Amino acid sequence: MSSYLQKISKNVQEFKTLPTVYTQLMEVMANSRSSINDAAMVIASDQVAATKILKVANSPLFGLSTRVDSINKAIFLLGFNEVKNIIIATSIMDMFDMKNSNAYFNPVDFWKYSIGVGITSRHLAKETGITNVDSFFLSGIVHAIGKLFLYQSFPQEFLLALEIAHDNRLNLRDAEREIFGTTHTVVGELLAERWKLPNTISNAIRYYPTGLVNQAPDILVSIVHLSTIVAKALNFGNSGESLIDKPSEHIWELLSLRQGSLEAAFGELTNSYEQSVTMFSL
Amino acid sequence: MAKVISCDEIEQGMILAQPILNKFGQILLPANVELQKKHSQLLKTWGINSVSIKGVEGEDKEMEISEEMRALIEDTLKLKILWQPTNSFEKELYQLAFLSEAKKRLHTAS
Repeated sequence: MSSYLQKISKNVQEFKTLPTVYTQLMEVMANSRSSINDAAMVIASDQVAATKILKVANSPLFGLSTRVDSINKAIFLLGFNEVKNIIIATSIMDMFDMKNSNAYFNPVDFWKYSIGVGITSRHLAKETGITNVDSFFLSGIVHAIGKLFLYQSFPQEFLLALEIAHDNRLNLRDAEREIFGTTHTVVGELLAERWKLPNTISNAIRYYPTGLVNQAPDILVSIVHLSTIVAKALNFGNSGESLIDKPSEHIWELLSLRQGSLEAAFGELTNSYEQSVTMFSL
Repeated sequence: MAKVISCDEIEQGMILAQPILNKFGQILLPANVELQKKHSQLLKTWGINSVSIKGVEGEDKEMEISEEMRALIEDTLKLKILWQPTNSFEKELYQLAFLSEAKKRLHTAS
């Protein structure tokens, strides 16, 4: 059983890293004397990254009321962190093959689902009254990245896990444990370490199925947890799982959402979702 | 709930639910703007054919769902949701799944 985990770890260690523009940006951000201009110059040197930031910054994901036409403006309006998060999200999306779809798993639908979770997480964070909503969209987009990695490295085994889960109405992670002796959440955490993602993000990846980090309720992870359920309920893309989980008991008290706010989000979420998948050309 | 209408249907005082973007993702009109009759023509010259506006209270339940369709949707949801809603939020989640399923069916039907 453990041999799969060893193989997976080895594959993760050999897997792609985030692009140099990300490392350079981290260096600039770590330097307290850096200005917005310094960061903008680093980003502008990478045309692909720069174009993507402008596209995403202008998308309904962020709901900005002014047009973002320069990297400086993107940093000014969204902040260093969120711009860095956009680079992480789009770079990770580029690392995986979009082709090779199958009856049980389609990478394009998987990304649509992930974007749906990203949008929903950001929306729910605002609903909960959180002032700093940085990282919510990134956490949502990458929360199930382990699935895509398993699909790419061990397609036959992963498809078997999906099939077992589907046919027996089982939780996917239980089926993965049977096949791999581990789950996509653990694999996702390994990837987060490989990419040196912040703890908040790797916690979301590892613990989104419950929203509990080492048994303790965590706001960000709980919001991502609820968002996966909302995204599945709204048929955003396809997560590869056919069951919609019951939300963890602790989240309602933790998030103290307004009554009616979930149902009221139907139109807004569906619209932003549709516009965002078009923007990502999915 | 927001709904999408054609630019010809724009009436004075309608509120934009979603920003209007051009194909480059640039915002032409932000969300929450109160529309004027003249926007109808202006948007059309920008090549925009439909807009998403905020629904009027009480108008939400306009989706016509027959008893037959309701039963079909509930059967589909039974395969995905193996739990019973126990509080109002869980009921809302169920309702979201229901609405989404209904929308999907109405879309494929038309």
